[in-house]
Amino acid sequence: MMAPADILFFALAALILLTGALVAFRPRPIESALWLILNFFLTSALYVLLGAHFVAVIQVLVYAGAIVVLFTFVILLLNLNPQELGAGQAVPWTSFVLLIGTITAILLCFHVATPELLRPLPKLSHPDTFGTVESFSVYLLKNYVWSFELAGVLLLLAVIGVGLLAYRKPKSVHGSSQQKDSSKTQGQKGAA
Amino acid sequence: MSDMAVMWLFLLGKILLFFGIVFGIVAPIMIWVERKVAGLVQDRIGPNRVGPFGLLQSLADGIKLLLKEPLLPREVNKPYYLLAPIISVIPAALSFAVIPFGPPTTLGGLFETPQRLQIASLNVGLLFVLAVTSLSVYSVVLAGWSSNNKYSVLGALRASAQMISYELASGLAVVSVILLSGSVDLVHIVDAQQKIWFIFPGILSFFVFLPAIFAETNRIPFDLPEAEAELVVGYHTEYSGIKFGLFFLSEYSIMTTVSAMAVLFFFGGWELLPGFTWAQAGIDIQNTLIGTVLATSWFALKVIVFLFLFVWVRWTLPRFRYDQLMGLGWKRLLPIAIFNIFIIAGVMAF
Repeated sequence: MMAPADILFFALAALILLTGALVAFRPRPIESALWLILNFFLTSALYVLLGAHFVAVIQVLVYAGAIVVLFTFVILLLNLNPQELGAGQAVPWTSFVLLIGTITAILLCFHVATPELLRPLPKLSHPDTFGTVESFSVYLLKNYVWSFELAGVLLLLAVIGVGLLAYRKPKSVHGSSQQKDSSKTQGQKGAA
Repeated sequence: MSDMAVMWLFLLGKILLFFGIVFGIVAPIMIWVERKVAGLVQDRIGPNRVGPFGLLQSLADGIKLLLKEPLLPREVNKPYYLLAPIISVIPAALSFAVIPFGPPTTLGGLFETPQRLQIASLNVGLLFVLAVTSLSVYSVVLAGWSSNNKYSVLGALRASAQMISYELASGLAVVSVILLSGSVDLVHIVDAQQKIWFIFPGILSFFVFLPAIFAETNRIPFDLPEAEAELVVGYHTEYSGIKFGLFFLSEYSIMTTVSAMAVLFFFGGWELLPGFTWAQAGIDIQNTLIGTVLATSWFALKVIVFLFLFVWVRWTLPRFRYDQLMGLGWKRLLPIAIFNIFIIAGVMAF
């Protein structure tokens, strides 16, 4: 017999796989984005089962609350329709990916079904503070402070890169006509 | 066993009390207040026919919305069109679950240990509220996209961009509250304000947080997603009847949530006055029933002041232009919030 927690885990895992598949195979990008949100929610429920409440909430806050909002923004902005995505071309690729995915899944099932992996893990005893913000941050900043800082620098680099990409264009385009523009605005100001 | 029964009854009571008050009383009264204040500001009377002072106007409107024919425009994407108003209520309702609306209490000796007046006491309450309120944008996006109407899509587009921009600012403003209180548990945040309300050390973050919550609730001056003059009414153009009513209801309940958040973060929650606690006034808010009721009402009063501020601002300020909105979010509020974190972290460290 399975414990209720195990049943919950397998139900969640099945739903995560299902929603993940729907993300890949729904025709409209915005529907995929919606299934992705549900997928992130279920993943965060998995974290709750593990007792990691902080990670669970951060999962919802960052991924479902911010990143997918950005996705939907881009999808709405580009107004992507199935026709515009070139549905004819997508079919062979989809089936190819499906094939590879199925083979991988079967191999994975064989691997998981090996007897060593089916033995239940010894129960980990963790303190009451496990998963709280305090214990999480102390652990992170004590043991992984360099990785943490490195991730920060990487993100900073990305921000600077975006800034550079966004600002290069106006300079090169308006560089020659800048004087004209400024004289124009000055003229307007004078008239006002 | 009877202890368990009492605990379950207490939980059920909290849920019924809170949801009943917010959905059944606050939202309808707020709509009435909104229309009355609009009347006051525009030098007219406002609703005054249904019930005393027109108080039952919202009830009449609600009944009208319920009894209206459920219209379904032909070209909409049906499942998503019907899903959007339902989704809009979920974050509004979920975010109440962790808001403490009173001090931990024994209800006049009913319980041995003080119980929290909070439906679910998560140790990550603050983050949970932020996460859940950030999801409210999806109903707008879904409604806009599934309506198959260009005004709706534009409204949805604006809502998603606005939400991302202002969530950053409000999130960073809240970081300074976390720094000051050293906790993300909402009850602990209020307890940390016994000596001094966070509005005093965190004045800058409050003035970042305030516009950000106006923007997140899509209220004037930041109601670009439903700007009537440009987009008809934006994302809910194609909605009528109770489907529109759900959008309306969720707007007012999210307003209640963010007002409660502002009070909990910056105005001491149920604490009496800055530097003057209930204990100093001789009132035991934890062990006596009357003290608990007083503190809870005091908290409610503070939330009401904030709700009134929302209405007052709506009928006073004009709407921003879209580039002004983005400029304010990214070029003003965000740098101020980051600067403020540096200052507060620096002061806390030394």
